[in-house]
Amino acid sequence: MEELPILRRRRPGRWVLTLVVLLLASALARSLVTNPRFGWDTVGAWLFSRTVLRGLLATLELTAAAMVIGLALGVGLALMRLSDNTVARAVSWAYIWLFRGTPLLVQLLFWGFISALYPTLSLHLPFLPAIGDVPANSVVTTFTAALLGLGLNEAAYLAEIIRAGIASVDDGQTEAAEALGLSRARTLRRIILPQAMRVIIPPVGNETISMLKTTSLVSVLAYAELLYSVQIVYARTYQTIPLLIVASIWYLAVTTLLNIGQHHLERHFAKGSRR
Amino acid sequence: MMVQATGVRKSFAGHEVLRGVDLSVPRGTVTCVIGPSGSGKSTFLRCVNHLERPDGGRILVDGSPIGYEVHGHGLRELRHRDLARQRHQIGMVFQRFHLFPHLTALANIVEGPVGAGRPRTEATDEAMALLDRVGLADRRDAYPAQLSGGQQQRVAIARALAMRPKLMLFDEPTSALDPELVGEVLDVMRDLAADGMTMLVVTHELAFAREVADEIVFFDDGRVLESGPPARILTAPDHPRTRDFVTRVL
Ligand SMILES: Nc1ncnc2c1ncn2[C@@H]1O[C@H](COP(=O)(O)OP(=O)(O)O)[C@@H](O)[C@H]1O
Ligand SMILES: [Mg+2]
Repeated sequence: MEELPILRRRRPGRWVLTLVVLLLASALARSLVTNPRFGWDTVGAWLFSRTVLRGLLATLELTAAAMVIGLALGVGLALMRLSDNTVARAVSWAYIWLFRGTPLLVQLLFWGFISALYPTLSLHLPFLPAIGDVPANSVVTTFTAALLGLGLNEAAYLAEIIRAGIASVDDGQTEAAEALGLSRARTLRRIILPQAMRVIIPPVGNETISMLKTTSLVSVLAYAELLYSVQIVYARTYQTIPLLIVASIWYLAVTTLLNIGQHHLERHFAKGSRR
Repeated sequence: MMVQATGVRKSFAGHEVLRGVDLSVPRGTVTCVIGPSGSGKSTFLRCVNHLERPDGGRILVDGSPIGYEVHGHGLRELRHRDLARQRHQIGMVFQRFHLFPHLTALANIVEGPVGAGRPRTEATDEAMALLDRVGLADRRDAYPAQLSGGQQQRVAIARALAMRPKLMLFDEPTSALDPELVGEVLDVMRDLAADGMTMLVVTHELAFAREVADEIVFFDDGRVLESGPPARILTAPDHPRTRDFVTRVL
């Protein structure tokens, strides 16, 4: 028995699958090249045009800003949700209930039409004079409306992700930090959050990639992000498909970059884990 | 007295775990707490640095009530910041180490002092000296997962010592270790005792207790059933339950 060599098992299924995929891919490639309605020359002409690049920049700005708002607010909401203060817990619960329970598109429209609801903005607290009295439209521009809509909605989702991340850290870590006499803020910042990151980063990466594409909803507010920018163009030139391809290429390119970034972040926060 | 506990009570969801514990630890001595599993040893130890809030009784560490301040005619619960300051003086070592897994051995030790406001360079020098003291100077850059259980526990002891505590609490520091790694941790603790550190140690290592303890306290069902010098408690205890326990563990 010991002398018999180990033989590799043949896997005919793999070869069949490879063949099928190759056939389908070549059919697709053929149609991409031969169907003139893809309009590749138009795609090439618009891909790096000023209008499209400006739209891309707006999309990137919106994505980044909305994620920053979402993360900052999300950490706050997660901590409130985990605190032993009943009021804080209730507020956080109600926030998440409201913003996850209604469609983002509806929320965006609400922010866009805020001036119909509150023509002027001012704060009235009991026993105090009113603070501020400014036209809503001058504060809530299209950009702010888009940002509020995306950021406040995202915070509700990120709060749940962050809460799960914090809860995944062993209680012994908090106890060890308490026993050392670390402050609550330092325990969170130096001990709990860095460990929660390993659980938090993959879904936050997904959320960021999803946010990149969700910003296209903002086109309903006529804010010139990537999708709205190409819509303006094809409304004029009727080259709908080539311009949608232009937008898709950019979405894919940025998503790919974000994937690479996520991979590196995950490696960074896996420090100290057993290999 | 470094620790003076009187009538300490604690219940979890109606189940009384500590039923009036009286225990004191004189300055510069070692007290070992022994007793069956579930008798409340850990809960009591955790009350001493206020990780658990007792329902009744008093615990003084170096004369100050832990977790409270005298306010008018009563005791008022401390703010977290002030409780943290009290805890700086009490080191704690856990059964399962609880090192910070994302920090190196050195960074684990430096974290506490820097959090308490000491300059980083000074804290780092002192941490290196402590690593040397527990025999791990060459592992300063290792992460906890790269260390054996015994090495992790020695880093955990160094981490607690870095706060320059006047009292050290140990909760079964060798129970999670493979038998061949127990000795290196007990050696460090022996060293510490010889140095005059006041120590309160929950342990099942009766040989260690016999050698190092000034006093042994036997816990049973949330009470101190008896206490005294090792020679008496381990060889001629008053209570049959103590005798039972000692013969079973030895
Ligand atoms: N946080 C807790 N919640 C509920 N029950 C607890 C908690 N901590 C300890 N207990 C219970 O208290 C009793 C004493 O536990 P413990 O102090 O850990 O005993 P020992 O350390 O002597 O083994 C056990 O019955 C345990 O289940
Ligand atoms: Mg215990």
